[in-house]
Amino acid sequence: MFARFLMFLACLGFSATLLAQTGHPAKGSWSGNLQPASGQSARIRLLIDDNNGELSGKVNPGRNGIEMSKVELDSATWGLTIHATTPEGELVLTGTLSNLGSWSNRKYIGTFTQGSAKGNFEITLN
Amino acid sequence: MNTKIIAIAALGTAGMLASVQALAHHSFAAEFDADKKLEMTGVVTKVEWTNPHTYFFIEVEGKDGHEEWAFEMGSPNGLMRRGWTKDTLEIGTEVLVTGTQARDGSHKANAQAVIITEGCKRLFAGTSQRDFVEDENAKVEGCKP
Repeated sequence: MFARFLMFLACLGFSATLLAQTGHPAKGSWSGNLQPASGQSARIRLLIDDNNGELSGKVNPGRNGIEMSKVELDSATWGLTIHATTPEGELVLTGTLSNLGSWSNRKYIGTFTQGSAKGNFEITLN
Repeated sequence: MNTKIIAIAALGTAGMLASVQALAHHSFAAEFDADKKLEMTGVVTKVEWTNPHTYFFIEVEGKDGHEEWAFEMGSPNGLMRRGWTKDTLEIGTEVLVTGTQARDGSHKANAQAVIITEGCKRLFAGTSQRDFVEDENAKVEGCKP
């Protein structure tokens, strides 16, 4: 009886930890900068959702948000590729998720093309 | 003997579980300075519906680029009584927030009212500042109707 009670208490204690272990690594709200090879950097925000492993999302969510046309994650390398059709041309972000254990400093870093522009980006999970 | 051990274990566990919420609960005056009033416009990047306080985060254009500010509001239950729903602040929504800054000068504040700039919808944030009056008739300024 006593052992069962202790197990119950232990389960209660662990339940809080378990609640924090949910979610796809790419899911969430991200903010960062696109830094073209020449010219000024531009702010970018991403909102990525996960539906049973199927990723979708918006670039710069809000009034003028743009639907992502393709979101692909390679779970072997954590490579994430995002496509979206923006007024400036097709935006393609090719990068890697890192620091996956962190809720406050998870990064998505890589290179981008947007129309004729090319450069690097660094985006952090909000 | 067994009863004693069980009681101590139960108390210890209850204490541990309660401590998470107790840490998050504090008085307004201990953390925020009522004289450090602020008003800023930004884009919502995150919302956390947690007890005892709900938080939302906005990105604003500061002097040195983009800054992230965290705003504390009332409890989820208190906000729902004021007309909030889980979809009121969607990621990417532009808001104008009034409130008071944290005493330590960090980018943290206690929100008094949140105005969704598109449509000028104003919602009170359930601030724990006791002398703040939620005046439903006060003019809504700084938004685009």
